[in-house]
Amino acid sequence: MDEKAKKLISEARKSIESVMNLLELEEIRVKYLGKKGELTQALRSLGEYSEDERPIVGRFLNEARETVRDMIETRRGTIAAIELENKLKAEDLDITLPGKRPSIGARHPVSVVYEELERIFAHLGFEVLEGPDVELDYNNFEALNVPRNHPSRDIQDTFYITDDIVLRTHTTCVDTRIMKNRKPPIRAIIPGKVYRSDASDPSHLPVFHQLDGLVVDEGVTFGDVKGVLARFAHEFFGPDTDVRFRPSYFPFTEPSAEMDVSCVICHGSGCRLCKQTGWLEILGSGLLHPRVLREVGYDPEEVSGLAFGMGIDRVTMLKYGIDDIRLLAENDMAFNRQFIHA
Amino acid sequence: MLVPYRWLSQYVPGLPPPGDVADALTLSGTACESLTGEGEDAVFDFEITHDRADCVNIFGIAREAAAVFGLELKHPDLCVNEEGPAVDELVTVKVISPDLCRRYVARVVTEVTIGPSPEWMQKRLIACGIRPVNNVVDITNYVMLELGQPLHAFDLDRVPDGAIAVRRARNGESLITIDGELRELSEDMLVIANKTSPVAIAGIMGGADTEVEESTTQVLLEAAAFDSVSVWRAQRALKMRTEASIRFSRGVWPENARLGVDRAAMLMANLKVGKVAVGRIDEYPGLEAPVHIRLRPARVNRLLGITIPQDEMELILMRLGFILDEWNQDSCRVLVPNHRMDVVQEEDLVEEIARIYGYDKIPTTIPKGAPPEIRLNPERRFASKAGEILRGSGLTEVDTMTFTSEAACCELRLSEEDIERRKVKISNPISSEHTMLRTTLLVSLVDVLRRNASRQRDDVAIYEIGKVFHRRDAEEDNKEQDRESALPCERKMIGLAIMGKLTEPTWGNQIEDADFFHMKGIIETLLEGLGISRYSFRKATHPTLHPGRTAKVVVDGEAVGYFGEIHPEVSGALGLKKTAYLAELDGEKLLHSMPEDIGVRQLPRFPAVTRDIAVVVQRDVESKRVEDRIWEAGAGLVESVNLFDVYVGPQVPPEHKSLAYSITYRSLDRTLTDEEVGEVHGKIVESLTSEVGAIIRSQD
Repeated sequence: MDEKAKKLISEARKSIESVMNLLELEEIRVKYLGKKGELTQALRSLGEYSEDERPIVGRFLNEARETVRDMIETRRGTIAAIELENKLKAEDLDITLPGKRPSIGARHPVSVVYEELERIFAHLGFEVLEGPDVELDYNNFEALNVPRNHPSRDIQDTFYITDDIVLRTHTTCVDTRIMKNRKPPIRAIIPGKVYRSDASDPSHLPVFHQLDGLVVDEGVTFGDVKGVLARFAHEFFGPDTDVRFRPSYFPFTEPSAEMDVSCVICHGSGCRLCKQTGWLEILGSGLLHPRVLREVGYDPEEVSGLAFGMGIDRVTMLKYGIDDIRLLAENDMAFNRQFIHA
Repeated sequence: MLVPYRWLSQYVPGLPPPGDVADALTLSGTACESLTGEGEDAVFDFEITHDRADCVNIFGIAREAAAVFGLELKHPDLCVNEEGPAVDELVTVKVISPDLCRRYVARVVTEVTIGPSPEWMQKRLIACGIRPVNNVVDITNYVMLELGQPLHAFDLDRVPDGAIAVRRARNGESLITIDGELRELSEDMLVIANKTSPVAIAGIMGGADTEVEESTTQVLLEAAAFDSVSVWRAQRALKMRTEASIRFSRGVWPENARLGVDRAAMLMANLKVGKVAVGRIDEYPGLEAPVHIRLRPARVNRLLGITIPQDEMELILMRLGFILDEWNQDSCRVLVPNHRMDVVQEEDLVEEIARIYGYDKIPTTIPKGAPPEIRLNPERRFASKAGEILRGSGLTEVDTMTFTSEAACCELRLSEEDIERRKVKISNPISSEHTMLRTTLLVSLVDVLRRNASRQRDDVAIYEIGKVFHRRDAEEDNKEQDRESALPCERKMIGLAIMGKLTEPTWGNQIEDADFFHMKGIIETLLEGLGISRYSFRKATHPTLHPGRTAKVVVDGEAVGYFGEIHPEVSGALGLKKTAYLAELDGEKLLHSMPEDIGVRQLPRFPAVTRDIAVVVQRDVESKRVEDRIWEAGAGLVESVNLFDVYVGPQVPPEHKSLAYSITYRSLDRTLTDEEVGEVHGKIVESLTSEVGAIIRSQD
């Protein structure tokens, strides 16, 4: 018996170890441990042994069964591991193939800049207000100290709808609306499209974008004009940007100032962009003219105000190094889609 | 304005080098645009702000430079060598329209010899961009450049009896000006006339008939202070801009007329052009009291946010030619020099003090008051949210001009009648492509499609959030009488356009060109993203769109926009290679349909059961009808209905289609049994059969 069982086990071991896939392993299991398997059969024929031999042979056969089962399970694990390894090997990818991208749209650079400016000024307590593009001559000019039929109208070439209605030449016209409808304190920025009857060229468009700012309160000073705008310049153009203020003229401010920032290209040493001056003109500003304050019903002895206005297309061009303003209006996908990251 | 350094320094002895002058003047408000040449030969180009008419001349700049550097100002020589007859024996001047002429000063030069002006004068004129003509004309131009006073020289022999009238033109009068053009004049223009007819258009140009020529022997020199508004209007009406009219339009001050005429006469005599008659004609009907302003130093400091000592303010103003007197405890009286027409109130003096003191020395501060309560602008928030969703759907933002033209609208098949009724027309357009404001975003979007297609970019997906403009109806006008009601109606719209592939085709991934349902899906995503769930789509028509492939978008029973496939005629006219799909949604209506707050629904705690069903219906049955039946018959147990297949082909009868739905059932309070689901599913089948004539193709 011993000999026979040992032979059986060693045969089983041999075939188990040589088998390479789970299907064949299962056949082996059936051959030895199945209902008609050799070991199962052997156990069934225990009755052929004497009562003395029976427990010994029985134990022996049961142990053999356990051994074979363990061998099969171990082998099963090994084969599974090999098969998994092979499967993973076969599934190897060329990870340099292009990804399957969902599409994503880009923002228009002007709206990127608008949003950034809105964020910067929100930190200084400014709210965003808007007004109509088609505006009364009164709001756009007369209330801002630019009388009708006056040579000062030459400063801005204007599109007219009727004698009384214009396409606004600046968003400053919204200042009038805001002040007439509210009481100080006021802090607002006013984004929007503006219109001038200029032919298109690399630096002009008949429709472009502006952001105006307005602060009215008791004790607003010219120092505040400088402070608010310097803060903006440092946030927008970078903390190392130099700013300077030059006296200028706008009908609706007195004193008036033009703000320059150090050139974004040469940082002040002089280049073609800044016409060798080292400075770039960015915006106009000043304290609100007393006539403007009186026109909206405020007393210039009690409140003062500051106003500023900047061309958004120009600062967008400076920020992104765009050399022709018309690119902003063309909407060529090859241009617009460059701002996906913006 | 071009200013040669050598000429400038003549009035300001000790003037610093050109570079320093350019910087200092720029920082005090006279911006130097460019500086060319070196040393004594340098030429500045100054940009003079509109208010500083007194600076549009070399001496005016010298006055600024002297004040800025604290140097002495040397005035031009005005000593005239007079000889011969008295001027009033030769000329009489009547100012008939004093409202348009504040002062008229004249001198006469006799025994004139016309010839070239001296070389130094010609050089200076050329350096300032003026072409030399002859000695008389050159002297008038020289003085205009030097002092800012426009002058005119008439050939006095051609003015009968030397009789001059300054009057309004009569209707029907005309004049041939020295450029040879016939000018029709009108009553609101001022002219210089002889006894019968005009000889010059005041402040703009002289007549050809009295022009100084080789043969001229007597010259009448005119220097006047014409009304700036009237000259400005006349130059606009006549479309003539001359060196004189530009200066008159900006404003001249009457005192300068006398200086100008004397300076010119002095040069005529010294340069031996002729003999200057004794005395001058001086009609001065517009003499006004000098301007005085009360100045409160404390207010200056309060507005600037600084403390400038009072004596420093005094010094600055005196350097600029202001005279301060009548001091009391906290204020003084300031006499404004007559050339400073721009200074009329205390705030103007604040700027004078600040600009000479130096804007850079004023401290930088942040407004002290508490910021007002900020109201978040809902429209900006809406636009930003909508933009985010659309970009997430692959659409790129565009920003277009709000202009269009009738022709471009016609190209969109919009009816002429409709365009006429709604258009806001520009009365002075500068281009035939920009004659009106757009009434729809489609016109701008298709323009972007066309431009891209013409550059071989045929796969385009774009959106714009922008305004459209409609004229208000006449009836509305009559109701409200305020000025506001004359303004057109402006609405913010969301425009969408897709054409070609929405994503880049890649390996192993077939990408088809966008179709109607891509556009519909983008709109559904937008609405869902905005939190708007009560929307539906109805068949509609729009002139720009395919009649069978157009839908309107309805939210809460109200139409909020439309979309569809571009009409083949429009597409053909635009030269598009691929089919475009267009949409326009009313931003304001969508904003108002957005929910105020987001309420969170409980997560489902019981399992869902999904059953599929395929039904065959007639082709013209809208899938929405089938879907509505499913929801209705579902008795509140239907959680979602998903149409996963639409089939037309040999497997179904002709003129029929098969719609395959996946229906998910779920209850919020219990696990549904097979029987329950079966019962509801059965009801749905029954309803589809009886209500929409559906034949059940398969179900599980």
